[in-house]
Amino acid sequence: MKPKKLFSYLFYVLLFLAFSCQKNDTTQIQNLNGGEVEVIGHQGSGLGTAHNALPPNSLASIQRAINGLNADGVEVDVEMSVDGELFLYHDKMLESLTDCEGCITGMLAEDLERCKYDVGISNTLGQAHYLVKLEDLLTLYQGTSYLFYLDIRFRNRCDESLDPDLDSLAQAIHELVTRLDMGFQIRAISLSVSLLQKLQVLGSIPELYLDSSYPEWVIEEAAKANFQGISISNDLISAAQVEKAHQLGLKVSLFDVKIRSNVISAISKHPDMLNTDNIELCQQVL
Amino acid sequence: MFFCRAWKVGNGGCLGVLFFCLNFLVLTPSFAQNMGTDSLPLLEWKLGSHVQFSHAGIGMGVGASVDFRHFRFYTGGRINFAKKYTPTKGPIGIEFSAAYFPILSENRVQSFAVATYQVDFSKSYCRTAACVRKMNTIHAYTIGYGMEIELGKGISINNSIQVGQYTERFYNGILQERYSTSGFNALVKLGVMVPVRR
Repeated sequence: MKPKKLFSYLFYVLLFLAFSCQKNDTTQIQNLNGGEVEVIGHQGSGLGTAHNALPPNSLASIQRAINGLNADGVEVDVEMSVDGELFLYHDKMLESLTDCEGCITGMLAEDLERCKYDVGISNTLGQAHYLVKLEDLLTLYQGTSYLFYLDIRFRNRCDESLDPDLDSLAQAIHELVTRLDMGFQIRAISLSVSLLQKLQVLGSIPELYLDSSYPEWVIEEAAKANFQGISISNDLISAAQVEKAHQLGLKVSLFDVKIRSNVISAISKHPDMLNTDNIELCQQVL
Repeated sequence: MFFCRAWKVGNGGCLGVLFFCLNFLVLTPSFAQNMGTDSLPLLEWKLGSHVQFSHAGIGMGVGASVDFRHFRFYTGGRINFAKKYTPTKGPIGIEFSAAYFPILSENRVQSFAVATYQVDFSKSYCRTAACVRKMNTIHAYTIGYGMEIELGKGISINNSIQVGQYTERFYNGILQERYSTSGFNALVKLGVMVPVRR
C-alpha cells in the first residue's frame, strides 16, 4: 500500500469517528423537574480515574465539579464523628483512603481534621487534601444555587453490630442546615427509612430520597412514607419503573452513570437527576 | 504494584512510571550503532496519525512533521473520544512535539526522546442561555522516551511513553470565574508516520 493511500484511509477513519456520534434527543424529557435533568457530581467530581485523580469527597474534587465544571450540585457522603461533627467520607475505615486509622464514628473531630487523603504524586503533585467538615463545605457555598445531596451513612463503622444513633445524626444535620439557612440547597439520601423519617419530622430538608437496590420496594416505601424521591443504580431500574415513581410523585436520582452507554440509557428513562462520575459527558449529552 | 504503593504512586501514574522505566531499559541498547548524518536528506516531511491515552482522555490526532538531522518536529490537531461525547463541542486540540534521535541507527528500530505540549479546547457548560460561555482548556506538558520501527517504503510506526503535568482551566459562567487544577499526567501514544514524498 502506498503511503499516501494509507494516510488517506487513516484520515477518513478519523472523520468517521469524529462525526458518527449522534446527540441524544433530550427535548422530550418528562420528569418532575419540568424536563430539566440535574447533573450532580458523584462524591464531588466523580470517583478517581486517570481523567480525574482527585480524591472523592475532597474539597478539591467538589470545587472541580462546581467551580470548574458548573455541575448543578454534588452528592457527598456524610458521617458523624464521636463528638457529633459531620465529615465527608465514604469508606468504612479511614486507612483505605487516608493516613489515619479507625473509623469516623469512633474518632474525635479534632483528630479527623488532621487526616490527610493518601493520594501520592500521581494525583496532585504534592498538594495535600484533608477530610472535609460538612459545615466548612456548606459555608463555602452559602448564597449560591448549587445543590448538595447528602448521602447519610448512619451505621457505626467501627462496630456495625451496635445500633446507630439516628436521633443524634438527624439532629446534627438539622441544626447545621438550620443554622446556615441552607435548607433549599440541601437534599438527603439514605438507606434508612427511619433516619429519613426523623429528618422529615425535623423539617429542615425539603427533599428526602430513599436509597435501595430494589426498585419496586423503594418506590412503594418512599411513596408510603411521603418522601420526595428515590435514589437507585441506573442498572437496576427500568424506564417503566421510573415512570411509576413519577406517577406517585417521586423524583428519581440515578447513579452508576459514567460511560457513554450508561448516560444514554439513564437519560432515556427520564430521570430527575444524574448522580454521575462523568459530569462533562452528561452535560454534553443533555 | 508493591513499588507503586511504596512510592505512593496511584492510578494511571503507577503504570506510567513503570512503563517509562521499562521503556528506558529496553531502548537504551538500541542507541548502539551510529549511522552518521551525511547520507540523510536535509529535511524530510512526513504525515502522521496517532492514538493516545492520557489525563485528557483517549484521543486521536493527525498532523505533519519534519525530520531535520537528529530532530523531528511535529504539529497537528487532535480530538478526544472517551471523556466527552459530541466532538463538535470538543474537546478538540492541537499538539506540538519535538523528538530527538540521539543515534541514527542502521537498524529498523530507533529510539528517541520526546517532549510534547498538547492543549484541548471545549465549550464550557451553562444550563441557561444568558450565561457567559468561554472555552475550557486542558494543557498537558510531557517528556518521555519512544521507539520507532521502520516498516518499509518510509512508513514507520512508533510508540512513546511520557510523563509530566496537566493543568485544567475551566470557566464557570455562573460564577464568572476560572477554576484551575493541576496534576500528574502520563501519556501513552501509538502512531504511524508516512513520508510525503519518497
